[in-house]
Amino acid sequence: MELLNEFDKSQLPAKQTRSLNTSIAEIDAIMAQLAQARDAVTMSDKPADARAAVKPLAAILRRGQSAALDSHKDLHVGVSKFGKSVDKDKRFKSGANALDECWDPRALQSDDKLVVLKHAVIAHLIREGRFELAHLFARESQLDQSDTALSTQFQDMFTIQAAIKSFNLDPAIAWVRTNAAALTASASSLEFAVIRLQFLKLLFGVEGVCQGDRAAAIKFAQVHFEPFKERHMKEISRLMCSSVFSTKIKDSPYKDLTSITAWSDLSHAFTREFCLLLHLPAESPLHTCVSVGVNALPTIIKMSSIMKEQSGLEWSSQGELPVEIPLLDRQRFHSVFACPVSKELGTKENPPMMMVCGHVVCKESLLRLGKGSMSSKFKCPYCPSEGKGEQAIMVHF
Amino acid sequence: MSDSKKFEGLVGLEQALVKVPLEQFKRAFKVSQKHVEKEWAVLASSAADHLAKIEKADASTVRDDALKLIDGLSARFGALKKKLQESKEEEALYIKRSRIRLQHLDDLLNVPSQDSPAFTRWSKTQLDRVLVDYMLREGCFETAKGMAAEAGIQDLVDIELFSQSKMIEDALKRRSCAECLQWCKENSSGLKKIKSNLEFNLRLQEYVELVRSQNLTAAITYLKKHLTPCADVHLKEVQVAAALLAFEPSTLCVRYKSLFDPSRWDQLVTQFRANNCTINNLTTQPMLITSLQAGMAALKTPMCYQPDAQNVHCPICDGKVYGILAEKLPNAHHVNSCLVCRITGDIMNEDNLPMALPNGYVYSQKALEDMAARNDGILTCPRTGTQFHVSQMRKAFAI
Repeated sequence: MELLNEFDKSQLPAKQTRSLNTSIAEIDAIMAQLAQARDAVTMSDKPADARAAVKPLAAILRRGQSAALDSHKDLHVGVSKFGKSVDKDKRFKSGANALDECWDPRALQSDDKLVVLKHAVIAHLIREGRFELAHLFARESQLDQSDTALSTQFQDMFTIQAAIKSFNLDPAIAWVRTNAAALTASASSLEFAVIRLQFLKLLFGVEGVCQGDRAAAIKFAQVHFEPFKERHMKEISRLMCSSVFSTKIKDSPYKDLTSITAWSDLSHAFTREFCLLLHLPAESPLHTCVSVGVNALPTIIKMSSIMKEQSGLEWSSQGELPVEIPLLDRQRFHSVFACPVSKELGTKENPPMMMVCGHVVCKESLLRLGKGSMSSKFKCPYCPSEGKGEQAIMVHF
Repeated sequence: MSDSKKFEGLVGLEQALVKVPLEQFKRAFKVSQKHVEKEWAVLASSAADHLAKIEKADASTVRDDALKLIDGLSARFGALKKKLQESKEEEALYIKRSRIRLQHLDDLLNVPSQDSPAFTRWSKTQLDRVLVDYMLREGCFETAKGMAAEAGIQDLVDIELFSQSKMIEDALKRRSCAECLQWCKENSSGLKKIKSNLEFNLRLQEYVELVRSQNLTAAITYLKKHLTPCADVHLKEVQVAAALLAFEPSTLCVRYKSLFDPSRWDQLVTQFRANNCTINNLTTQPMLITSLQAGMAALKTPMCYQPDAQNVHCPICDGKVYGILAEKLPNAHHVNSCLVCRITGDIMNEDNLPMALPNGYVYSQKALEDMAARNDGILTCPRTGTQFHVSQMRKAFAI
């Protein structure tokens, strides 16, 4: 960034140190002179000597000041130059004031909403494993600690995560066992993923933690793979075959099985499944909202300034933002269907319909294509096939 | 929009991050400059006066006078040195902090893309900063300090600034203007730039309090000393203030009753807060509120409030927290189709086509093929429970 370069070019830290050192050195010099003068006065009892000793002080006291002032001036020049670069930076043209002046729906101003917000912050801290901070924040904002349940649950999760980090899967295995029914119900393959990694750990060992032990691994497989034979047979065969190569795995077709990233992958999968069982999003919702929001702000600021110029445009018209805020794929949670014919969004009243050929348009468009009748035949606007409106089925995304 | 352009936009929101330590440095510099320039000069010239006296003094007292002068000077230069070191230490802190903050912004511009782990790390740090700022503004200093220390972001947040303003706000709530007046003095140039009348309002309040306690002589003295000099700008207010002498605190006359109103103290707190933010280039709203509102609106859809259309990963669908917070916000605006698989949460596109089951429910190809592989080709629609054979699914052309 240019500002960083400007800063480094300005040599402010060096100039600041110099201004400090120069001033202190000059003051020290003066104090040394004062001490010297004192010695001279005390050593002689003649008034004339005392007069002679203090006389040069008038000049000495002023001597260092100009040097100290020069070093300060140098620092001042450096700072104002850098300050000007900051002021001139075009990215900051719309800065703090623009944030204050842009769209503010004041949607969080009521007291009850502010309390909900505080609980959201606490839940976020708990999700991050910052239990003490969550507790402290609740106390400092005078909320009753009603989030202890969540706290206990996440404490469990962080204990398990810490164990996974040190290549110990025992707590994770215990947890998937306890929650096996719920996990199976949600079609999760986490239980198998944990068992699989434990097998690989036994077979190949983990560098710096434990040695591989083929016999133990095979014994483990005999006991634990059985329940997964239907869903994961292909992977089980692969795992068992790899045991043939256990000492020369690096040159085998199975070398991917020893990748160390398997542990962080499991850790992520574990967080995801854990949150899902608690009906919580895999990512902290506060982080999702704030990062989407921060990304949206430059667009919103620009839009606000345009709207200020063209009066009459309203932000809340039709209860919709006037601009599209681009979202990352992982920040999209709901399907949006825009009819390719009418460009209208699918709604309950005007739902998306799939024609016999598989092309999807909105119900109103369908009716229009059939010239107002669902039973008249027409050609699909996107392919050569023909069909009737009544043959189309409503689709749900 | 390309990622790098997007990052430039994000840097644009961080004006305060760069400007706050710069302003703080300038204030500390002003103090050390004053030490070197004025106090030093005062010392030198007062010494010169004493030296002139010693020159003419009686022989019998010369030695004592000289020693007294030297000892006095040593002590005062020692004190000057100490004060200078203190303000210089502050300067050094803000310079170091400026560098760290610029580096933090530079880190963002060096992030390869929004999908990279580096960006996730940066955005987590940003969230930590935003949260600490919110806690500071809410007066939760212990949490804020603990969080800043834990996240290692002490140099990216303004704990000192908010502690100072809290101290001043508390003083105002205790009905003491002294702290705030001192602050006005330290920030006189900044306040002048934004044409703030905070100092006048504080003086007026101190005067009103004197009248309230019916200490009228003191009130008149105060009026002459602190309010009359402002008559060129605040003539009307000064006239009303002078007339206030004729009224008792219990007066029913609206104009004067309002001056006695205790809520004026709250207004002072509000004004101080706003002025403090403006001269430091801080936003009046915490960034948490601003970004949360924008983010929730960008995520909000009508589906978030329909139980059968909710998604556990969507923040707004949480009806107990974000669903409530987003109540009064507009929905997001979308113009193009974007289909999200209800089983995997993945986006459906050319690589992962949307496939329709005979009942009209659409899921991603990967999700359905995975389900078929696990269940001998049987597909169970998770929303209706109906079962189909994998051969019955067909492409839906909807993107």
